[in-house]
Amino acid sequence: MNQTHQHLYIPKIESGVVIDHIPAGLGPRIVEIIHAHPGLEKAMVSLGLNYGSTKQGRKDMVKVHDHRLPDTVLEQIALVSPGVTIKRVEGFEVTARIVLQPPHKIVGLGRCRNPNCVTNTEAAVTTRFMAVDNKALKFRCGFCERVFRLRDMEFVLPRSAWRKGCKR
Amino acid sequence: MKRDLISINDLTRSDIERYLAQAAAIEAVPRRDKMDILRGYILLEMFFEPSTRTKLSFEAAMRRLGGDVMGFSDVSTTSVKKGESFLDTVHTVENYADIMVIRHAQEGTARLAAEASRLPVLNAGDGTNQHPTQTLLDMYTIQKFFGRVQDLKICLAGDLRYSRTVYSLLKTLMMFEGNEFLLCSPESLRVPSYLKYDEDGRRQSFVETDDLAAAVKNCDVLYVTRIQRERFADSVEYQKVKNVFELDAAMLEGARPHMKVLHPLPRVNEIKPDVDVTPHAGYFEQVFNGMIMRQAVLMHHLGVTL
Repeated sequence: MNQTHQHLYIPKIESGVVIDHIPAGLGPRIVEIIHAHPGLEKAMVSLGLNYGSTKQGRKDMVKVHDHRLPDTVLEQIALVSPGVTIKRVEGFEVTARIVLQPPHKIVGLGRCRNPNCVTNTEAAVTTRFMAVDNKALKFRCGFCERVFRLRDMEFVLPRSAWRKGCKR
Repeated sequence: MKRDLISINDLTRSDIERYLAQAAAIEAVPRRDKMDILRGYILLEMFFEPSTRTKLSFEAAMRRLGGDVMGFSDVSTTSVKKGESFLDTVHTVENYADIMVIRHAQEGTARLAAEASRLPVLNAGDGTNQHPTQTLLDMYTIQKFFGRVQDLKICLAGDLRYSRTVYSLLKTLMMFEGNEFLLCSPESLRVPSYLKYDEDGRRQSFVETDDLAAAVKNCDVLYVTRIQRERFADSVEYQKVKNVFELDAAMLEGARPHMKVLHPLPRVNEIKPDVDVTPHAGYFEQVFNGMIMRQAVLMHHLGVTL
């Protein structure tokens, strides 16, 4: 199945945002992050799963109709899926395109996976992680100083209403 | 602005050099002439975990400069026992002193205290993470024995995988040019690979070996750490490794004449008592240097100069 053909499954959007090159399986999580943001709860979203991709093998794709994505949403998407392509669409044309870079600092969104880290026992502490190796996507806990790969980290991201109460 | 000492990762080479110079300066002052330097200051020791050397060393450092010390080393005698949070404890006790030193079993506690408190906070060990004054006193000991902390061949021996002392010392010595490292450990306790690169991503000069007897003869500093039984799933394997990594006086024959053996202490079996009487033993002098370095640290973080 060629790429032109598979795009028929999600039609072109007139305006909004396309999130492309999502690693297969992460599409639903990204939709969830978008829908959890105030003002985007009712945004019309198209979700494509397991599209063929020459680079990735399989990929997901998300199209958000008639909305732009605020920076906070982009930051959260960058945590679960850095490297996705964000395209802004106006009048059926792509007017801007960025590759979402991993963050340099993650504040208040992560949970330290070191069970002996003080952030896991003191309730009032805001966690923070600093990038120590952006290429390898490694981050150091600002408290216990342990280094984790981004893909091994746990994030406390908002969940959209339709998934609240569901198990991850 | 208050100054905290939480992690070696926060320090630059010039910070390290400044601590070394300050320690040398305070050591040069005759004991009687420095008995009033910190008079009127109170050091608060919050030891949530047992400690012999570090606690007594900080106390001696403070008292010999004329300061007072208060605190606890047994959590069961504090309100923590009643369920008080760590931060509430910090906010309470900070009213009684001018500087606090904290040891805690959990990683990150000293950083948390430093951010919450208006007092300068010194980290005396937070779990397996950091113990910066140990590294500073190690560096000062090397500086005193060799007159420099660069262009040295340093052998780190024992548990190089789980020892916070090794991590910090290695990282600090890598800030100085010309140091070569001989890493001597059992295969299962080797230094993690990411520690072999300096801050700029350059790979440092490392040789890894499990032959302690050969390594001893080929270094200026032999820094020994304890191999802990709990790191081994198999006790037979532990016994096998433990005996290979025991240093005795006979092994020191053929060592470089100026070579010094250092150890953060407490030692168990890894250095036999017969090493103590050789000219190579440097670990008890290291203990003395610890007190001097902590005097320098207390003065610097209280903003007091000679």
